[in-house]
Amino acid sequence: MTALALDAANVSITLAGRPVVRRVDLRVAVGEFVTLLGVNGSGKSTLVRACVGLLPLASGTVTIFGSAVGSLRDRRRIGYVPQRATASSGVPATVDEVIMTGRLAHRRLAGWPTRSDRDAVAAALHQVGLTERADDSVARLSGGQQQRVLIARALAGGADLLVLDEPTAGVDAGTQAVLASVLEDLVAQGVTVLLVAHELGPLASLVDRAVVLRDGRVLFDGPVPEVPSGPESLAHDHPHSGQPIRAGGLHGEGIWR
Amino acid sequence: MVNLLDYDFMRRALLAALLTGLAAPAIGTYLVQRRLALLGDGIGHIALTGVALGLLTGRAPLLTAVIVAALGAVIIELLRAYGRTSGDVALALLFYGGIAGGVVITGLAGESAATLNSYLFGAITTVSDSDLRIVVALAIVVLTLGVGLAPQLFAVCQDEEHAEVSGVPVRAYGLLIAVLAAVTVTVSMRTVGLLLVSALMVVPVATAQQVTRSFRSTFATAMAIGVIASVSGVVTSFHADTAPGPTIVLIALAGFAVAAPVGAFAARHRHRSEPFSEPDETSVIDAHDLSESHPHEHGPRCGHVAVSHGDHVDYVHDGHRHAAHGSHYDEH
Repeated sequence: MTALALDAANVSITLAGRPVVRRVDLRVAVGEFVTLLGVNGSGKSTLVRACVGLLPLASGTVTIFGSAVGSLRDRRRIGYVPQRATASSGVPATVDEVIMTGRLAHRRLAGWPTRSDRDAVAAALHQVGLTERADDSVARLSGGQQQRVLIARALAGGADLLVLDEPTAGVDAGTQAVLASVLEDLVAQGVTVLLVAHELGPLASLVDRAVVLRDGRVLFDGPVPEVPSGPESLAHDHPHSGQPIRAGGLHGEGIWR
Repeated sequence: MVNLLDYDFMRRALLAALLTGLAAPAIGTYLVQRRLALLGDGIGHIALTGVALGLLTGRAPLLTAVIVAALGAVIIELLRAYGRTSGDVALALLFYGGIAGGVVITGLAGESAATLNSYLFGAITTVSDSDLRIVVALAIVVLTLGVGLAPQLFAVCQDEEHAEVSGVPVRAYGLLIAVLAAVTVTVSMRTVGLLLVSALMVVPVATAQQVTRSFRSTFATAMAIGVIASVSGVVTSFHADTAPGPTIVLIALAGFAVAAPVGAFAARHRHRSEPFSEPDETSVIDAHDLSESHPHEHGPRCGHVAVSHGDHVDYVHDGHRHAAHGSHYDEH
């Protein structure tokens, strides 16, 4: 049997008295790239937030690399990339400083970062291609670059299971392609990926398996269909208008939405 | 010229100002980072009830204030972390309760409005030796924890959920920040007063971040600005015969008024020297923007920096980019 990176069995989650996820099974094998799809409100973000230990389970169990999610040692193996529009906060911080927070579980209570902390941050910066921006303020980076900072922060902790919650939301097509190439490199290095997405775009070719949620239940679990199209497409309730918007934006090249 | 240090009360006032100037912006940086800039203000209101309880029971108001303020801060943090009701409404209830309770209890204690004023707006020149000992001890605790635990506090304030998933005890650190803020409010109470304490926690941070780009430099610069504002405020108030607390706050605000245009100028300068903010990514230009009338023709020797942009070349022109398109130039 293949080793499992994540095993969520019979999981139900209740938020404010309302069942949001109902008896869901979600298994991700080591080295696998699984995407969790579904329309807004289908429970996909809630499910992954519970899987990384941020929300309590109403029933069921979640184990990460064979042990319960609560144990600290295994938490270090989870690289969680929360859904964020920005990596910045109310006070300026450099790319380097934000990524260093990913090392916190490894550091002593007080004191300077050790050599291994600095090496891990440098390696993470390199993995996402932001080495040159290390000393820049994160607020000055583009949205896509800030998403890469969040991924690097997760990698710096030495995670081998990356859980990404909608990293492509509100990000333009060019940036999605950059994210896809970063994730492709990570997969080649043996990192396991669980990706929550509304739509896959250029990430589709990386995905081994798709799990589609609807109303808190698994609607589909299997390989990604070749070219999802038309209104019958998975997890896709609305018809496209077919009208180009911002025609001529990039030298006459229509951008369709 | 009068030597200020010849006066006992000025020596005590300057030491209290120095410690307040260091501690308030240190904790203020974490509050601003968490986007809780006005938390200090709210805790100041709650501390007033603590002061009044001290006056009523005949105990040192500084000590009763620190206890009540810390309790209030813990309740606020718990409401914030676990609260099911709207957070800001819950906070408002505590704030108003704090100030109303303070005024009523002060009246019951038979104290005058003048006594209340000395806590609301500070009375640094009346700091006694025993006050000073409490201020020094509390300020050292705040500075040791605020600086020593900077990596943890920074991570929790930067992204609480990420820190929690990494195994950091975020609830404990959240409570620690709240209690440190309460202690700082009490430490600053004699210097700038409960109604103005938040200014010394927030204004130096807002000033520092006009010119800094890292957390470390913001933290250090804010503390330096805090010390300069508090110490020079006390000295100015001595010579100009003004109220010390408000003088300190006005000097801090003057610092912001100077730093803001400097920061704006620096940001504009950076934009001009680095016209492409995302050189490695495709950016989508919202509209087909025509440049204003343009008598000059860009070319290899026109003197404007030429940058390759996809299938064409842009010329950097006064901080923006021009691309030839037929007979005109587009703004890119």
